[in-house]
Amino acid sequence: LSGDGDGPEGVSPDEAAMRRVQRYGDPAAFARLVERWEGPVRRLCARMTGDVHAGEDLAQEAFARVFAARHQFTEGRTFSTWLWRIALNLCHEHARRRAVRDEFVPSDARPAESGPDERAVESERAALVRAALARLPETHRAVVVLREYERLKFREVAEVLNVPEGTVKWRMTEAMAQLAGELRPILGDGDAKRDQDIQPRPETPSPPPTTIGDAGQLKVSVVL
Amino acid sequence: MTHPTNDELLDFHYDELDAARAETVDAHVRTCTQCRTQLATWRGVGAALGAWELPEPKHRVNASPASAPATSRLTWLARTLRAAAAVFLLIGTGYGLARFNTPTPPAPPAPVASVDTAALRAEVARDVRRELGKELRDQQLKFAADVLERQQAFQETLAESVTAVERRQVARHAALRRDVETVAIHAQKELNQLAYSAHVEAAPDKVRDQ
Repeated sequence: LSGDGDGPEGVSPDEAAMRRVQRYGDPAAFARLVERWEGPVRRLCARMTGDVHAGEDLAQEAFARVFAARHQFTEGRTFSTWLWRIALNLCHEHARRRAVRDEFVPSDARPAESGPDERAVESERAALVRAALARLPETHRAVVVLREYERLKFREVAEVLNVPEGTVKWRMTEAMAQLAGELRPILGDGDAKRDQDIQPRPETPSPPPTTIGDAGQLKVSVVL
Repeated sequence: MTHPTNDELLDFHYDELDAARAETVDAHVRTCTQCRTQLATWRGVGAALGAWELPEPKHRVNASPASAPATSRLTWLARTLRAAAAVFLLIGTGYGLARFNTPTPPAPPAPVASVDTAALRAEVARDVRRELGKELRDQQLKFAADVLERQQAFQETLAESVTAVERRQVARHAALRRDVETVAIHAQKELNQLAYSAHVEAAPDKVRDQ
């Protein structure tokens, strides 16, 4: 979840760099962390918000928060888990702000989520996927984005979201079922499309286990 | 035929199942249409999700831990120092080349040489000052334009929000006023009716005569 290998003291490079940032405010170590994690965080934020520009802004803000809260990064924690949580919290705040804005600003006065350039280059398939993801509940979307796009294992997703692994898998199953329905027009011509007409499996997924840090919202507890 | 649990099938799909169990599930899936169908659906959704590729970012994340204005100050300082170094290098090279190519006078008087060096120093200082001043002015203009742009954007957004809220309030007020007026008209009618009834009851003969 964190780094490619272990550092000299058995610590992954990310945690070692974070420790340098924490102790000495080392700009070079911070730049290494940014270089390594900028892409994933930006992608996560863009896919969570459905807005590429917001993704860029939120990624910048996420790293600003990492630096501002560097003294709260405790030893033994995984840097990437901490960073994902910060980024997801920012996405949650962004969604909340957008909801407030949508309530007060008439729809015709709102700026478009993506500019004409982006809309022009975005294919029809991509637009369908973006819309389908946006319609997922925020908690489910986070699971799909982390597992499908960022390739985190279920155990790691559970750690980031601070919920049991079973809950993550239940959300994933629900989300995949919803996406299968929404993305039907672009599902492959092979098995997936044919199988839409076949009855679902008899064993429906068990209801979600009691969550630990989740109260129906995505907000993940992280002290900043 | 016992199906694997949903979680197991999900783990199998994402290759997170341990080898022994994966082998068992694999053998089951080969013979079970329902499980194969489920896996195919997930594969299809996974492939479809890949259709949304993100464009390259227009702005990279600023790796400097300091805030944005501080960063731009640092950048400005670095650029200024680079410009000053370039000016020094250029003038120094030109001066060196000129000295190398110019034949040495047979007996140069010492006072003249010292005057040239002083003039050169003054010229370099002037150039550096000019370059620094120009760079500073450019940065100040850029910063001011940026601030102005942000302020305008903020004010526009604020104005839009305020107008929308105001419009809504006016509409609500008008609707309320209409309701109150309607109630008042009805109340007036009722009162007139009551007054007339009371009048008739009090003096029925007079009313009949009228």
